[in-house]
Amino acid sequence: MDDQKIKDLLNEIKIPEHDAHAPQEAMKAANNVMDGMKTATSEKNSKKFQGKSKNTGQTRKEPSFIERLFGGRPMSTTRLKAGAALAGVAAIVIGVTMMAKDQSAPYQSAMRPPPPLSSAPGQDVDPAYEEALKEKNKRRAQQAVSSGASAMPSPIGKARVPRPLTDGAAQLPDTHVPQDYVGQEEFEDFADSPVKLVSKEPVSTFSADVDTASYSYVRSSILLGALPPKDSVRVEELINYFKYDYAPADSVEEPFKPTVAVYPSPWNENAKLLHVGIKGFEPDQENRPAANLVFLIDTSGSMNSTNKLPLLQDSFANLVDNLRDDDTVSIVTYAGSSRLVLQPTKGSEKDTIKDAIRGLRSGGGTAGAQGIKTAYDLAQVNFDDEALNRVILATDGDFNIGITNNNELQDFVERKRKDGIFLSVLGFGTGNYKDNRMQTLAQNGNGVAYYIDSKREAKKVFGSDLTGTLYTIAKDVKFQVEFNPERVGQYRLIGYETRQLEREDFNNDKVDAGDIGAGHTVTAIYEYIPAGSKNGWMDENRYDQNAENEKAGETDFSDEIAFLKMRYKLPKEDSSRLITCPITTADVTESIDNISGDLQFAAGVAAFGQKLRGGEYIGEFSWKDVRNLAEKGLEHDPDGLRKEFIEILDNIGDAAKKQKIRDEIQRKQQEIQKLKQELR
Amino acid sequence: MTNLNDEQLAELVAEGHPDALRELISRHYTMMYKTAFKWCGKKEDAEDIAQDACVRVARYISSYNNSSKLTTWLYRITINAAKDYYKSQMQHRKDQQDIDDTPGISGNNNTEQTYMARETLRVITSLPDKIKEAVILVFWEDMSHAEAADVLECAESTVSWRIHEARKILTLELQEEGRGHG
Repeated sequence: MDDQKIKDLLNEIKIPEHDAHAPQEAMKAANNVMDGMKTATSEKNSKKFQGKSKNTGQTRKEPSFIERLFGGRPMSTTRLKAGAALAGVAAIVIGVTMMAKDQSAPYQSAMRPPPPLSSAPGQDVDPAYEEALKEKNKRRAQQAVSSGASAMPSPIGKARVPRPLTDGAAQLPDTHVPQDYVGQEEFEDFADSPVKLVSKEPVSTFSADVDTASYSYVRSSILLGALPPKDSVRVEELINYFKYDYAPADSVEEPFKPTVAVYPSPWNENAKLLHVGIKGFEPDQENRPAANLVFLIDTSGSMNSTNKLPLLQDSFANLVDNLRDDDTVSIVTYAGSSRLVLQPTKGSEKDTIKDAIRGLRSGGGTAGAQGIKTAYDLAQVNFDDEALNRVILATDGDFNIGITNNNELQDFVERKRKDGIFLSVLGFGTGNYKDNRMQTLAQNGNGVAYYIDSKREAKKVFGSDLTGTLYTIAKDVKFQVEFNPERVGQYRLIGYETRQLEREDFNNDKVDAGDIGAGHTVTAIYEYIPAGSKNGWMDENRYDQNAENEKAGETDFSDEIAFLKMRYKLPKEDSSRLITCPITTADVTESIDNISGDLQFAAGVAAFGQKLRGGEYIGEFSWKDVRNLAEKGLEHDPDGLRKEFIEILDNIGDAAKKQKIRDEIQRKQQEIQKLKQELR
Repeated sequence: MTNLNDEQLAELVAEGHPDALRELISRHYTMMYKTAFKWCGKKEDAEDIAQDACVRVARYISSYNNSSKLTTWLYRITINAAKDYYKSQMQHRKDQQDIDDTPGISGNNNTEQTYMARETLRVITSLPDKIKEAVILVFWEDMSHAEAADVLECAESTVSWRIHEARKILTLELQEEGRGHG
């Protein structure tokens, strides 16, 4: 028998899935041991200092990041539910994000010699572990009794029975920490938007960006005590994660109108901030068109981890709960092959849909060649011109579903989009977060994307914000701001580095830009130095100081600071519409204390993002200053997300400190490795 | 955590951070469970073994040094946990004679498997420990002999020899099965 035959035989063996709560139990047991060890260490220390210290030998358990965030036990589901309930309406985001994964096998390269045998675990049994085991056995015995079984239920047979969704998902940690490996995650490099001289470049053009991925990512990062890499921080996405109280639009025909404000820059006494915000029209859930949805779900083996498939199942159950009776859902999975799990089913048959979702199991490679095509074909079969036709792809990364070439994929999705089928991408878990690929698709504006890092985020996207998630009210939304050289000397746009457009792109309807869903808010903030100020970022030009005198227009624009133009297309239209709005001295507020807490909060988030990116333009503005500013926005916090932001701020010093130490350790380890090699 | 790979996470665990421990376990539990299942062929035993392995992670993480990949160390821990699990169970049997009440030891009704898969599993799980660990890592986990040697802390040639032995046993046992019932 050759090796391949043996391998084939082995691969035929089905490995049953472990109980959904088994990892939690293992964590609990392991945690008990860790606590026990801490106590032991602390006792040792207290003995050492006997007489000098009042230490009683009781160890003070350091609150974890997540504990600090939620102010309590991190694993508490009740707390989670309360938090999720708080998550009323929340800001959403547009654009597309793509998750991609490269599941590299755990063994790829030859490894260095193993540590000496002494490092292998010993065999003594831990009392804490014994305790946990006893508990577990007791529970199993109870299970056996309550199920009326005289013997232990067959382990494998049992695994086939669909478990209630809450069984697996409710026990997930509330906040999933990304599992990143250096070198496997990719972020596009980008520099901060540069300062522009109005005399040289008076016009600034960019595409709307309502992606949330960057914020979710930064949040998870800081909560685990690590600073996010600079290029993962897109300031506009952080700002746009939150919802602001901008003037609502009146109709679906003109789906948004601008809210503008000018106020002193909190971090630069010589500068002002020009704040532009829009809020997408928000019809009631009852008044939106019916939805024709196809879920395309990655069930490859790599999804088999607590923060992936179970969280995904929970997320979709959320969505199903919020569907209307006239919506339609189909489900396609892809792993080794693509599979139609659920024929188009009406939203009124919620139980049928949920059963199908619960029944999903992971296993096999990621190579379903037909996955995406099947999904789109299904959407096509059920296509309704009046409906919201959308494919929702859920994956932990690898978009390896038949069309592996990214360009080909973009083309495919874009073509389908022109046919009226939109795409949403949900990213789960992390470790292989291919942010640059997500961005590439986002730039092509082929849909909406979310990074689901927690049940809370799932509730936001599929619960309170479902209408916005499904219902695109405007596409190809572009902004253009022209600054008046009489009023403005220099300016810079905060964020939107990856969304820059050429000036001529603004009027070109062929140029793609971001989409806005119902109720989404988009914010753009410029910082500018008034004309004539000597304290700008750049020196003034010596020879064009008289330029303003040459101005000889009939109309007097001297009150205008800038002129805002926005273009958008209605979802079914191909030509754009224009909205314009002058920003004048009447929009200026002289003190930051006099603007709404809402805007101050946005400025705070802008400062936060810039600081994470290195804070090139924000001088000595401290984390404390950021906090003070953001706190002003707490009055308007229906979903609790702003409070969470403050808590993230409170963790940042800690994260920064740890990051520094970790970097130092890594550097030293590299040195040691180098020295070792020299030794050989 | 962008900046946290497995090895860095292990350091945080060694420092006593519960979040890091939780993250590490959630990352690798499935791998450990599957390895354990391959060892014993019983879901509930595999869960117990995986849990024991997780406890060992918490307990012995400080003995992990960065000279090999964390996953290598985790495979080793899991296999050791599996061996010890059955050692202690045997002890338990001698001491108490109440095997039937011990969860995991009773019935192993793998009805979901095909006949051939069930037979393969039976043959694999009854292999001698040293052959079994080599078979699991090389044939089932697709490791090279060198990689398996790292996990098992033995010479590469030892792995190769064990695999050679394994081929003989498996050919005998499995081909007979195939002929007898195929």
